[in-house]
Amino acid sequence: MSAMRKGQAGTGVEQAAIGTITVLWVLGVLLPILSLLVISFIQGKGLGFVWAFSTKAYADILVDFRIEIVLRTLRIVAAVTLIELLLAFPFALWLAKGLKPGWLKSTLLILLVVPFFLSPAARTIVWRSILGSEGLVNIFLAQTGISPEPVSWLLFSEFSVHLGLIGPYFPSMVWPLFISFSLIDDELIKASRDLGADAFTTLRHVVVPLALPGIAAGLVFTAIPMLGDNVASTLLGGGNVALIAESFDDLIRAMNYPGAAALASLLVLAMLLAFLVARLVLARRQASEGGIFAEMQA
Amino acid sequence: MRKPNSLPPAGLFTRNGVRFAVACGVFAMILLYLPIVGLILLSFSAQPLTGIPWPLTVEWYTSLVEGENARWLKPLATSVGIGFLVSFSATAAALLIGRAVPLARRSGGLLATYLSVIVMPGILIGIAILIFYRGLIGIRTGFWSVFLAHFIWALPFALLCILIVVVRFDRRLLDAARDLGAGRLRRFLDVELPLLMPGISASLFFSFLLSFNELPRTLYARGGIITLPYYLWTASSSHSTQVSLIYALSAVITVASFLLTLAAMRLLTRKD
Repeated sequence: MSAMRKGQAGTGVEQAAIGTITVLWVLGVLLPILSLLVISFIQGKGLGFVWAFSTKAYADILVDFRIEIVLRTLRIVAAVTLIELLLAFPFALWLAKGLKPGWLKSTLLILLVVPFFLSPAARTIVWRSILGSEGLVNIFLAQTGISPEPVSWLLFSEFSVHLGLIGPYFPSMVWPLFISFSLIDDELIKASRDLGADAFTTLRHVVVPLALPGIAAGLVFTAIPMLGDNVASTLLGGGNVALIAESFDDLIRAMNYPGAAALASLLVLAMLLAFLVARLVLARRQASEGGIFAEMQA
Repeated sequence: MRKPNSLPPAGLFTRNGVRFAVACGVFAMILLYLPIVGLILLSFSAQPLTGIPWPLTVEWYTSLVEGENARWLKPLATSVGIGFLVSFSATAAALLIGRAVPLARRSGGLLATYLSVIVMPGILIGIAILIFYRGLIGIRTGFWSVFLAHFIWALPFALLCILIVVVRFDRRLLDAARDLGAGRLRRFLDVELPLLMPGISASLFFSFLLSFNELPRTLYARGGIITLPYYLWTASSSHSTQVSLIYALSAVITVASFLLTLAAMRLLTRKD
């Protein structure tokens, strides 16, 4: 059978085209990204580079205020990712296992897809009208007499940046969780109940271990893109809450390409690290519990 | 008429559990959709910056096309042009690759190569293009680099659309067609293409939208090109007095994108 199938894999032209595109993709897309790790160690000269080893880029980056920005970004991203996980876990589980297929389920799933295709800036800018010192919340607070003075920490603060990040990154967390919950066989959950486990025990010993790949993917899909988010911090941080994205802006504007490459290397490393950790977690799971469940599901 | 155990099928949820899960979801969905609904409401507001929708007016929409205010037309044309290019090229590439995936021996590696860029922060792609091509090699950035950045963004999604239909496709149909004497081209055009069409059209829509609304990658790879999202971005982040116009324009784009996404999803999930 495989001989016949392979025969259908396509004409020579097709094979060659796929090969060419893949080579171009690796050389033209993946190489530039990974090359940042190397570029950060060579000497910059104007807009170009001279091939000489230099650690000046890192000396430019590892200064107090930039370290502070990197740490702040990591802190905010960690906090928002955790919030997303706490919000998305019960919701995704309910979507996958608690809600019967029907119009409600389809509508919710559609609402979780659409945001990927909307303009990120357009859906963030309105927070300004809501949270601003003359905005909706403050007008409400003033008219009801709760706070006669406008509350200033609502906008251009860490609060508004957190708030602005939670919405847009929610679907990135829900989808991997939803998919991995959906893949869990209902029979396993029923069996757990029949053996006398309460909901929490089933959750802890059946659902979470089986959904681990989804949880890992959700964390990666949410946290890594968020590290580079420039919309929330620029529109809602208003210069008070600079994140890594603003640092890139500074460095590029100052034409410090090696510096930008060094900072970008941190992102690349964070990404590679996340992939590695996710792989390790999955490998361990497969080695321990996965085997039993795989047999049961077979 | 509810049966006593009409609680969730798997018996995982208590009544309070369901309430809690729904509350979590509703909270996040409000944070996600409040700004979108708010944008549309406020685009009709006489004073959009106060966040109060009334008194209603269509003033901003009518003034969008008047004289100086119509400067968004050129960026719009640029974005539509790049959008179409990205849409067609990403879909063509995805079709080529996606059809090979079920037959490839190392499909895992092939998929990882193309899909891994989904996870990368957008800004990183833009920076990489700028530093590698402009800095290291010395090619001026411009139209081509914006296209490249958008192509990188759209291809993985296009590939996912194609994979959904390719996986559903029953390859025995091709065997049957061959037994009936159809040539390679006929088999592709008359058997495979019609069955893959939902994925192809969804991919065209999605790729266009991803390119059309793209900002972080464009920011650094754009050279001198001004796309519509970039135009709106500079206008909205610079506290300009044109905020009301920005709201109106963003609202139009958002509603149009919303409808296109719905159309594409309908195509992709239609069962027939």
